[in-house]
Amino acid sequence: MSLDKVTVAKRYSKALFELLEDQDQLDSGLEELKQIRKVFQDNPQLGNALTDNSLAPAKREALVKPLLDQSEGVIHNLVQMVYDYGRMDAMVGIIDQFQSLYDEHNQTVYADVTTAVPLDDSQLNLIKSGYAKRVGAKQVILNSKVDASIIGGVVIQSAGTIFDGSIKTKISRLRQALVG
Amino acid sequence: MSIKAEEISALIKQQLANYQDEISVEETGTVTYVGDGIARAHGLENALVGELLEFDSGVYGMVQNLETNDVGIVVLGDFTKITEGDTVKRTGRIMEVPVGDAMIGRVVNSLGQPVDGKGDIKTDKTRPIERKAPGVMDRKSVFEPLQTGMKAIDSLVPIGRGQRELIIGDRKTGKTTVAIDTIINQKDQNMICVYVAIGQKESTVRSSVETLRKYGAMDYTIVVTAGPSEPAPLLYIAPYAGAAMGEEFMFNGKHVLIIYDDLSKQADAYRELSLILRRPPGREAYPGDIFYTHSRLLERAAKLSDDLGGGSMTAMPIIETKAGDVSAYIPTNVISITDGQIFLDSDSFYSGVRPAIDAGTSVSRVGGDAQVKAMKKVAGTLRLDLASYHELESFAQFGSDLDAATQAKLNRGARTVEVLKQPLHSPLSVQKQVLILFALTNGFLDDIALDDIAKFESGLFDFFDASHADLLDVIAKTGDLPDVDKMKAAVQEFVNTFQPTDADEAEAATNK
Repeated sequence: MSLDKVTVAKRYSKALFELLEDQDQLDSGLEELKQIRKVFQDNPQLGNALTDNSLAPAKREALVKPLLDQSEGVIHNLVQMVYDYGRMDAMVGIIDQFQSLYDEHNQTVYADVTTAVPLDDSQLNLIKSGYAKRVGAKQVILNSKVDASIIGGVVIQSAGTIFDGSIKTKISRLRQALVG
Repeated sequence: MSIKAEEISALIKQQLANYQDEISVEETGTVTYVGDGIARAHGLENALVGELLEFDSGVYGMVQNLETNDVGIVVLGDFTKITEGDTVKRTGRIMEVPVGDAMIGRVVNSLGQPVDGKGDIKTDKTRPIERKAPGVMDRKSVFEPLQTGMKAIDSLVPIGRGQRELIIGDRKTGKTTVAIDTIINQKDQNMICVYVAIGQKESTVRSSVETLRKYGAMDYTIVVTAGPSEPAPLLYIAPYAGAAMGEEFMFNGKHVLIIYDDLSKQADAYRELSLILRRPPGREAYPGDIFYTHSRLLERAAKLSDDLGGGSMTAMPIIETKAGDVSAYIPTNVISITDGQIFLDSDSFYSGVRPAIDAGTSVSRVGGDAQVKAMKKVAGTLRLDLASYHELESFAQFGSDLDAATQAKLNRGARTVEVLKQPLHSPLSVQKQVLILFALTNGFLDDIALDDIAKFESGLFDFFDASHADLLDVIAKTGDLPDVDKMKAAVQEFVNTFQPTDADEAEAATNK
C-alpha cells in the first residue's frame, strides 16, 4: 500500500528539519522553502505534472530545472531527491510540516482571534501576551477576524483547540441551563 | 392553576446562580471525509476510542478508529448535515443512555430517546453503553427458572435466570414469536423485560408493541428499536444500549430478560461500518473483531452473587440462518458463546408443529439446574421418546407389520409431538405444563385420538381448576410433584368422563 501524503510529508520534513538544525540554517532554509511553496501554490498543477507520467521526462526535467537552479545546499538536494522519488505532489505538505516543526522549535503559536468589533493594537497585544502565557509559547502570531454574530467577547482558535469566551456561546449555555 | 411571577423568577434566579461564567476550552478537529454514516477528522490528537464527539450541526459521533493521521468516527444520527471542513469537538464523555424505572413501558431508539410520542422520559440516571461484564467473583451459578410458558421449551430446553439462550432458525419460523410469548409470560414473575429490535421493520416493531400492550406486558417492558432506515452505527449500538438499560435493574437486585432481535442484522451493520472505516474484511467479509462484538455483549448477561444483590440478566439473542445453515460464520460464533440454543425448524413449522422447536438439536447447557423438580420428573424421558419416535417414524413408513412395542412407541411419539404444540400468545403456567406432561408420560393419552389431544388438554385444565386446584397449588408452591397416586387418580377421573369427538360429529364440523 502506498503511503499517504501526510505520512510522506512528516518523514521528509523531519529529516530536513534535523539536517538544517545541525547546520544551523533553519531560518534561511525556511525562507527558501516558503519561496518554493509559493511557486507550487501559484501553479496548482505543478506538483502532479512533476509526479505522474503525463509529461515526457525531458519536459519534466526542464520544469524542475529552474527550481534546482534557484536553490542551493540542503534545499537543492531536497528538491532533487523529492523529484527523483516522484513525491513532488507532496512538496507543499512537506513544507507545511516543516513550518510546523519550525514553529514548535521556536515556540511560536498561530491563532485566529474572532471578535465582534475590530481590536486596536494594545488590545491585540494584551490578548497575545495572555494567550502566550496560557499555552506556554514565546511568540504568538494573531490573525484578527471580525464576526458580529458572536455579539461580544473573544474566540481564540488555534491548532486543535478553541478558547471560546463569546457572548453567543455563553447565552446558548445559559439557555441550556434554564430550558434544559 | 395560577401563575405566580415571584416563584418563577425565584426559580430562574436560583438556576442563574448556578451558572458559572467561564471560558469554554475545547479540543477540536477538522472533518476531512464524511459519508455512509462515518466521518474522518484530522486533529483530535487526544481523542480516546469510544469517546463521544460533537459536530457543528449538533449531531454526535463516536470514535472508532485512531490512525496515524486521522480519527475514524461513526456518526450517531443524520450525517447529511455534516460537511468537509466542519469542526468536531471532543466532549470527554463516553456514550451513555438514560436508564431507570421511567424507561419501563416506553419505546426508545438506540440513544434512549423516546419514539412512541408519549413525551419526555424523566430520568436523571444514565449508564455507559459499553461496560465490562461482571467478573468471576461477581457471579453465581444459575439456579432460578425462567418460565417461558411454552411446553416445548420449559420441558426440553429449560432456561435459568442469568443464562444466555440463543433462538436460531430460518426466516418465518417463529423466532420473534417465541421471544414475545416469553415476555408475555413474565407477567407477575418479578421480571423486567428489554426487547431490542435491530433492523426490524418499523411496522413489525409496531405490531409487536401492540401485542405486548394487549397482553399487558408493556407494564414491565422496555422496547429499544433501531429500524432499517437508521444509519448502521445506531443498529450497531442498539444491543449495547439495551444491555445498559437492563444492567441498571440487574445491579439493583432485579431480574431482567433481554431479547436481541436479531444479532445477524447487528453483525451486518457492524460489517458495513467496518468496511467503510477500511478495516480489513475477514471471513464472509465480517471484520476481525466480530466475535468480540457478540461475546462482550452476551457476557454482560449474568446471575449476580448475593453480595451484589443477586440480580440477574437473562439474554435471549436471536440469529437468523439462511436455508438452515447453522455452520455459517455468525451462527457458529453465537452458538459457541451462548449456553444453549433453541433451534426452530422451517419444515416442522410448515407441517403445523408450532412452536417449531427441533428437540434433537436444541439444548440448554445450564438450565437443567434451574428446572423445577416436578418438571424434571415428568419431562425426563421426553427427549428420548421424541428422538426414538423420529427415528422409527421414517422406518415405519415402509413396513406394515409392526410389533406391539414399536407400535406403542410410535403412538406415544405422535402424542408427544401433539402435546408440545401450543397456540400463539397463550403461555401456560408451570403447574399446567407439568399436569399435561404427567398425563402424557403416564400413558393417559395413549388411547385418545390425535385430533382430540387439544380438546383433552383444555378439558383437563378446566377439570383440575374446578375440582383439584389443590394439586396444582402444591406444584406451584413446592415445585415438586404431589402424591403420584392422587394425581393419577384425578387424571383417571377426567379420562373416564372425557367425551371423544365422534366421527360423525367431526365430519359435521368439517362440513360446516
